[in-house]
Amino acid sequence: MESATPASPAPSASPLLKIRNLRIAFRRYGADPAEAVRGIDLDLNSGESLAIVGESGSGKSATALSLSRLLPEPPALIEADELSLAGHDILKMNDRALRKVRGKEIAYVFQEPTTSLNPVLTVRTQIGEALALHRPEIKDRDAEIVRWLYKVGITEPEKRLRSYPHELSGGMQQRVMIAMALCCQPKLLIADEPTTALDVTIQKQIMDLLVDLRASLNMSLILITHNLGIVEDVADRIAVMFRGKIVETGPTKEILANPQHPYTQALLECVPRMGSKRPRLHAIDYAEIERALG
Amino acid sequence: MTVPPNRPFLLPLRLIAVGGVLACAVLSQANLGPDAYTRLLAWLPLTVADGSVVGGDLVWQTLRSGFVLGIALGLAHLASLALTLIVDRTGSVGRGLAGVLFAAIAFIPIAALSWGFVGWWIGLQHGSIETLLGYTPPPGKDTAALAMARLIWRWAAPCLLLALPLTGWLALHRGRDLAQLRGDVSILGLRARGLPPTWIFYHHILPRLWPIWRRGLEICGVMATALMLVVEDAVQFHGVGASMLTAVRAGDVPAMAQGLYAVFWTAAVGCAVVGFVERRDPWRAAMAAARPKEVRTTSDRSWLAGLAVVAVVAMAAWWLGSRLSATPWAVELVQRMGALAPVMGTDLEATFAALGLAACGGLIFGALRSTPIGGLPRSLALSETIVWLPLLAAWPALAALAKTYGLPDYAWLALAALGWVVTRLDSAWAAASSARHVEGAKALGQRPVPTFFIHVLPSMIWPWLLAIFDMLPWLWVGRIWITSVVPGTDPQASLGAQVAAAQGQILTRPEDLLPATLVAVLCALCLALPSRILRSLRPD
Repeated sequence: MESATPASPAPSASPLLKIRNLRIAFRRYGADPAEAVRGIDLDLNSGESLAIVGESGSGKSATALSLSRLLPEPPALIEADELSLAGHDILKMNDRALRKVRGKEIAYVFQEPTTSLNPVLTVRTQIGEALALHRPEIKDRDAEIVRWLYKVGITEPEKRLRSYPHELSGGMQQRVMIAMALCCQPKLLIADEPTTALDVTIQKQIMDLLVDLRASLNMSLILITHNLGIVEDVADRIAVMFRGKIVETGPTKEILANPQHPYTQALLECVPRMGSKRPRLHAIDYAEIERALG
Repeated sequence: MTVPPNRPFLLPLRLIAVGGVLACAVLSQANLGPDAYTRLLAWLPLTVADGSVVGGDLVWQTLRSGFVLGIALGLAHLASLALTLIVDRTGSVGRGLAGVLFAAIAFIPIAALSWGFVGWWIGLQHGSIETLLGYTPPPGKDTAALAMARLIWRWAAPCLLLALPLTGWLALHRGRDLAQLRGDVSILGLRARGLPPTWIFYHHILPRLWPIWRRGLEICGVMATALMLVVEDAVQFHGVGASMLTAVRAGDVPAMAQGLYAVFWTAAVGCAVVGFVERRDPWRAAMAAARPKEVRTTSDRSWLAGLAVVAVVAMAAWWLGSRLSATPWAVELVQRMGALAPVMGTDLEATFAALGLAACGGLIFGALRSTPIGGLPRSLALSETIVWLPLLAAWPALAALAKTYGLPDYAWLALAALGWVVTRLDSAWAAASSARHVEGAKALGQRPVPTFFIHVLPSMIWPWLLAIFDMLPWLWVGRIWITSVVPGTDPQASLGAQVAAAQGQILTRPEDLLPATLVAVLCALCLALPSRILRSLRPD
C-alpha cells in the first residue's frame, strides 16, 4: 500500500493489555487436549496498534477471542500467568462481569459481516441495542446512530437506518459492524480478518477507515490477519505467530524490512509482488523451518 | 432445517377452485340435475332423489369445525413453544429423548382409538368403561353445573384431542430448528457485544425462527383438517368432519361432496387469515434471509432411542407370551397379531406402491421442473399448490370416488405424496443445478444431458432418499386410516378395515381392537426409523 499513514496517536505509558504466558488448549474426546496457543506474551499500550499475523491454525483468532473469554469453556482451557485488560483481571471475572467488559472496553469486528448481522433486524435496531446496553445515557439514539454511520463512511445514513442487512452490500455491512463496535467507545478494537470476505478495492477502503478512526478516537487496535500486504499502513507493531507461539515481534517497518526469524522470512517471501518475475510462487518449507528452529 | 414450502400466489382461491372441482366430481356420482352443482358451489342445501334435503346445517357445521381447528392450533402453538424452550435447556441428550416422545405423540393422531385400549383395560379390571362423550345424568337429575360442564366438554374434548398430535409435530420440528440455529456464528458476535444470553435468545434467535415457525404452523393447519375428521368422529362432535365421515360410511354422495367442499373452504379461510397476519409481520421482510445455514449435528443418535422403544415393546410382547402363558388373553392376543401378517403385507404393498409412485414421479417431475419443459408448471406453482391442498381430509370422499372409477384407493395418497416430494426436492434441484462443478462441466463444453446424469443427478440421491423415507410412516398411517373409513373394504385386505370392524363392537368386545391397532402402531414405529437412521448417516 502506498498511501501515507496518518500520524498515530502517542501511546500512553501503562499497558492497556498485558498478557503473560497465555496458553489455550481444546479438550478432545479420547485424546489429549489440542494446544492452540502455547505460552505467548503480549503488551499493548493505549492508542497503539498491533497486527498479529500468521497462517491459518497458528492461534491468532483463539488468542483474540480469549481476551474477553469468548471461547466456550469447556472445551477451551484458557490459562495464563497474567491476562489483564484496562486493569481488569480477565481470568478471574465471572460471566456477568465479562459482559460489562465486552462491547464497552473491548469490541470485535469479525470476518463475515453477513453472518454477524441479524438478518431480521434493521441497522437501527442492532446499533441501538449496543447503545442501550453500554451507553444508556444517550437520549437521542437515532441521532447518535446516524453520526456513527456517517463516521464510518455510509452515505445517506438517515435512509440506511431502517435498512435490513440483506439490503446492504458487503462493504456497507462491514462498515455497519465497525460502527456497532465503535459506538460504545471501547478502549480496544479487535478486528479479526475484517476484510478477508471483501473484494480488494473494498479492503483498502475498510483498512483506511480503521486507520482514520483509530487516530481520531485514540483507540488501541489489534488486527488479526494472514495478509501481510495490508499491515504496513495500519499497525505500529507486528507479532508473528506460528503453531501457537509468537516467533517474532517488533515495530512494523523493522520486521518487514529485516525479519530475523526463519518463519517470518518465509512468510514475507510468499507475498506476491508486482513487477518481480519468478518461475513459481514461493511456498513455505516447514521442514526447513523446523530444522532452523532446532 | 425444516423450511416449509412457500405459499403460491392466491392460495385461498386456488384451494376453493380445486375443492369445487373435486366436490363436483364426487357429486357427479349422485346423478342429480345440473342445478345441483350450482347449489353445491353456493353452499345451498341439495335435494336428493327421494326428496330429502341434504346439507341444511352445513354452514354451522363448518363454523363449529373451524372454531375447533383454530383453538386447537392455538393450543398446539403455545404448548409446543413452551415444550421447545424447556427441552432446549436440557442439552443434546434431553433433546434426543424428547424428540422420540414428540414423534410418538405426533404419530398417535388416532387418540380416540387409544381410548379403546384404556376402556379395554378398565373393563378387564371390571370397572365401568368411560367414553369421551359427556356424562348425561338420568332424567330429573340434571343440574345447571352438569349442563355447563357438558357444554364445555363438548367443545373442549375435540380441541384437546386435536391439539395433542399437533403439539407433538410442532415441538419436534421446532426443537430441531432451534438446535440448528444455536450453532450459528452470529451468536459469537452477539456475545462479543456483551449481550446477556436471555436477551440474545428473545431478541435475536427467536425473531429469526419466528417466520419459519409460523409457516410451519400453517402447514400444520392443513394437516389438522384431516385429524379434525377423526377427532370429530370419535367424540361425535357435530362438525363438518364427522358429517363427512358419516356420509362416506352411509354412501351418501351429496353429503360427501358438500363435506369435501366445506373442508377446502375451511383450509382456504385459514390460509387467508394467516396470509393477512403475515403481511403485517414486521419480520416478514427478512424471511428469505432468516433461514440459517444447515448445521450438521455432531452426533444424532435419537434413532437409537426409537429402536429401543420398538425393542422394549417387542420384548414385552415376548415376555407376556412366555411368562403369562397361563393368561389366555395374552396368548390369544399374540396369536391374533401373528395371524394379521398377511393383512399387514397387503397394507405394506399399497403403502410402498404409493411411495414408489411418489418417489419415481417426484424425481421425474422434479427433474423436468428444472428444465425449460417445467417452466409452465413452475410458474403456476402446481406442486406447491398440491402441498397446501387438504387432501388428507378429502381422502375418504376421494377414495370412494377412486373406487367408482376402478382406481386403486392409494391413488390420492400417491398424488399428495408426489406433491410433497416435488416441493421438498425443489430447492435441492436448484442447488444441484447451480453447483460449481456443473458450471465447470458446462464450461468444458459438456452437453446438457450428460451433465445432468453425471453431475446433477448424483447430488439429488441423498435429498431424494430423505424425502421418501420421511414420508413413509405418514403414508402408512394414511393408508390405515383411509381403509378404516371407506366402507366396503375387505377386512382381510387391510388392517384399517379390521380396526373399523372392531370399533363397531368397542363397548362389548374392546379387546378385538387391540391386535390390528398394535400391529399398525408397531409398524408405524418401525417405518419411522429408516429416516432417522439415514439422517444420522448423512454424508459430508
